[in-house]
Amino acid sequence: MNEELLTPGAPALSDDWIAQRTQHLLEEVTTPSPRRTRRYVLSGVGGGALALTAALVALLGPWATPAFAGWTAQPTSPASGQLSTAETACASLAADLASAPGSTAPATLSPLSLSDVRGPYSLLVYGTSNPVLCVLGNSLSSLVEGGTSIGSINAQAGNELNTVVHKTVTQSVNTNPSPATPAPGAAVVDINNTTVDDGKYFSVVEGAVGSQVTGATLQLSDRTSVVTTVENGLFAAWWPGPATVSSIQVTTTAGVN
Amino acid sequence: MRTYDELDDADLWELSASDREAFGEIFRRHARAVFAICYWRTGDAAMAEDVTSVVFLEAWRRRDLVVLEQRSALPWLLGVANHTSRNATRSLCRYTHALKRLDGHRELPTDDEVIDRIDAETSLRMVNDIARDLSEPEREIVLLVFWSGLSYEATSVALGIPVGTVRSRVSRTRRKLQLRLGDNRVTKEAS
Repeated sequence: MNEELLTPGAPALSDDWIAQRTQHLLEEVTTPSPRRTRRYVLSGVGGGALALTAALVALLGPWATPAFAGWTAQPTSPASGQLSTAETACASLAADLASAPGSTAPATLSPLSLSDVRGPYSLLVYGTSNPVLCVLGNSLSSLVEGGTSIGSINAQAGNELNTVVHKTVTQSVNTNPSPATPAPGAAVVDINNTTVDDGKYFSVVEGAVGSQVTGATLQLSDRTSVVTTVENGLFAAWWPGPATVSSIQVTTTAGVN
Repeated sequence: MRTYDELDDADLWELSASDREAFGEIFRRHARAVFAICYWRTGDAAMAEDVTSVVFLEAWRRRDLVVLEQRSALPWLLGVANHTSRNATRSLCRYTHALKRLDGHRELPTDDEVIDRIDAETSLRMVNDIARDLSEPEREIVLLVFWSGLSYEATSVALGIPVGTVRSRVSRTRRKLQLRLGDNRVTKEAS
């Protein structure tokens, strides 16, 4: 018995094969699929089913997986005790994060500046400069401070995922730790990051709004939209999946921009 | 101006949004490693060639989900390859039209390539016989850690599981193979 036997070879691919398949691949990713065209002309029962599916995706979002069951694209009213429970859990996560190796996060949280509720989930924003973002609900718990985070998605009691630093926080985009004060009728993104844990993704955005802004709706890169919560000159929201913010539509005392 | 050779996968991945050739460079870099996984999974060189193409088409479709490990796309691509080739027939069906457009460009293998394939199939059959009792998670460890040489961290990205789980699966898989083989020369793993 030797190592070669346990590491079987694979047939060699020639340079010509690589070149020809590269060309094919590039043609496929630059040419629109003809199958998509056919889908648009479905009608009758098939079209109805398609429309229903599209409506469900629009309502729930393509990332409304069981890991995030109950999430809504619009804020909802908190259940009795929901926010106080979330605050206690966030404080505990902050202490855990502060004690993680290499962490520079503070053990205590700044005052709460915004709370966003979506079904069973609570997003709490602490502080206004370099704020700490905490998301809790069902089996999701996450606290993000700067580029560091702690928590878990879909954790089971006793599971090794429980209360460990997230493996990675990826795609911290549009992060602007010192955002300019927005114009009275504008909104500026401060933080938009995506966290991945155990193959599941969720994204959080936080920013500042001008003095005349009363509401803000995010258009995401996957063409869905999310209504944010606006409080104390800030806005915030989160959603399942890795989509980023493409644009923001704000409602002001003067109307919609 | 920099050439593709001077860019790492993370740079190429970002660039591919506006420059599709950059995605072609990622294919050129990693096609052989992806093909090996597909071949070990399917045991059929012709099928593995098409599954390799499908892996990159699927990677392009899911490019918003990419997780780069130390700026390398390879672990994530091998994860896609592992998943795609496990359901090879269904994956190929999904891209029937794309693969159909390869017809007319396929070349018959040369005599040397046929011999190479027979040797590889013989070797794979023998190894598969040894590994026949392994569970699916243990087979994934064999494919990614032992044969492809991924680190535990990279395997964690490929499989979407915690590093600790990778470590415990490696330990379990190695124990099983050592019991079967009666020695400790079971891997050439990287970590």
